[in-house]
Amino acid sequence: MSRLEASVRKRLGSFALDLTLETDGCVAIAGPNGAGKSTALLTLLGIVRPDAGHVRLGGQPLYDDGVDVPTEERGIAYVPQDYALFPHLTASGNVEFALGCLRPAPARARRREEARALLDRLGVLACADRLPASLSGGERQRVALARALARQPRALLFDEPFAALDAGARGEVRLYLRARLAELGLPAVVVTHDRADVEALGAPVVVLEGGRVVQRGTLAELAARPATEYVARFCG
Amino acid sequence: MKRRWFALATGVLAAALVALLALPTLALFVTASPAAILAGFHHPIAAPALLLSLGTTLVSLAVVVTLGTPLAWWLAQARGRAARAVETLVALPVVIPPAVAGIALLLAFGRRGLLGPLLERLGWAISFTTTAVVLAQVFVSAPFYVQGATAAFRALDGNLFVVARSLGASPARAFFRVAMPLARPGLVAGAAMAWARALGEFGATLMFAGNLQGRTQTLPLAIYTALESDLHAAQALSVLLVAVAFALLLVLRARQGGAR
Repeated sequence: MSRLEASVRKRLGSFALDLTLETDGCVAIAGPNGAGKSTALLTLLGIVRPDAGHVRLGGQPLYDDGVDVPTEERGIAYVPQDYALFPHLTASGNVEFALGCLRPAPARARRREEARALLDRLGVLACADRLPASLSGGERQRVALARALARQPRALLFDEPFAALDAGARGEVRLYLRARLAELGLPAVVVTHDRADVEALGAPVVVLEGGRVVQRGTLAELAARPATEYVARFCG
Repeated sequence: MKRRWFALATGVLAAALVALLALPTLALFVTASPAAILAGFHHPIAAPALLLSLGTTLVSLAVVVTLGTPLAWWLAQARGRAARAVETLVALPVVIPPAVAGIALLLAFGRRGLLGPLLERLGWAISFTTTAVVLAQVFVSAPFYVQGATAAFRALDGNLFVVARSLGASPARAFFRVAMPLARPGLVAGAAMAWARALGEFGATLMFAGNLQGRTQTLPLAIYTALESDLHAAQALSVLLVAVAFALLLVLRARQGGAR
């Protein structure tokens, strides 16, 4: 089983991120706007370079003294808030793009076949030949997940995966993501500022405020003894 | 009453400018019979200038796109003060008068210019050659492409590249498979503007490359030369340039309309 371990410090102007994280399943990072949640994900991805610390995945150092594995070789799939589907490619084309990045890359016909199989597995085969602009929020999220899984990741990062959905779709998609993540058994980090997300995912929480971890634990533990006003309101 | 007066005044002023802009172009077409204009194309100056303009602008466009695309990509990504300085520098040729550009090119690449001794040792004379024509065109037209391409790259969602990288795409793959296709309308528009500017280049070419038929005499220079001997030939070449410019404008407008 792979385990994601990170301890990173990064100064960006007057803001400083200081985060320690260890997980082999799903963990949520919660916090108010500007707490550094998204920066934390970009640091794990290797887009933002930490000033100090380390990132390890399944025992392999991704960032450490003298080690800085480039983003494309980290094996960490990233799903941003708006899902960032490539707008010029169909749903299937988006998944095929990820398959085409594998080494060795499957042949074109094989990529097409595998993309359809993945879309089918996530229940969006009917969207295969449509462009992202014509998909609903829930469909986009599933296509984005199919694309992320196509790269055969060893860990997954989600930035506010439910924020772009309307309230009706949110509940269903939450449960759906939880089931998929449980099935995959990969380390996953889900950034959110919504308690209901954490609750639905059944994940432990790391609360970031002003770049620092103010509390960590299960939702029940946080609710029992909130360390800050924000945590109290979050559990509220 | 007051409102009507205002509407009338704006209408008249606006119409005056439209007339001022349209009248000279109209004059190009109506002051000579189509037969006379067609005959103008048979002037011995026309064919060589046409071929030279076509050849040099295609080469200069290739140079501008090849060198300008990486520069625009860098400018769109970079945040530092250096990038802003480079961006200003690149825009400079747009506001420099063409005659000044000609002198500047002469002082840089001419026989007695900055790089003159070096070029002479390499046995490469540039001024008053076709190479000088291309160089002048690159100098004046590159900013139009670089500015258009930079804006097109900047308009793209940065998350697309983060995602592409996280999916295992190298920076090069992310550029060619994601950035280039998405920025293409902006790149094409920038290239069209640059090409139009290169095609019309006159001042810098005249000073830096001279006016030698078949070697440096492009269409605008041929128009200038023909004006002294055969007005119809000058007019014919002018009509051709206007037609090309107008067609370009229509195509760009149609593309923009389609993208919306």
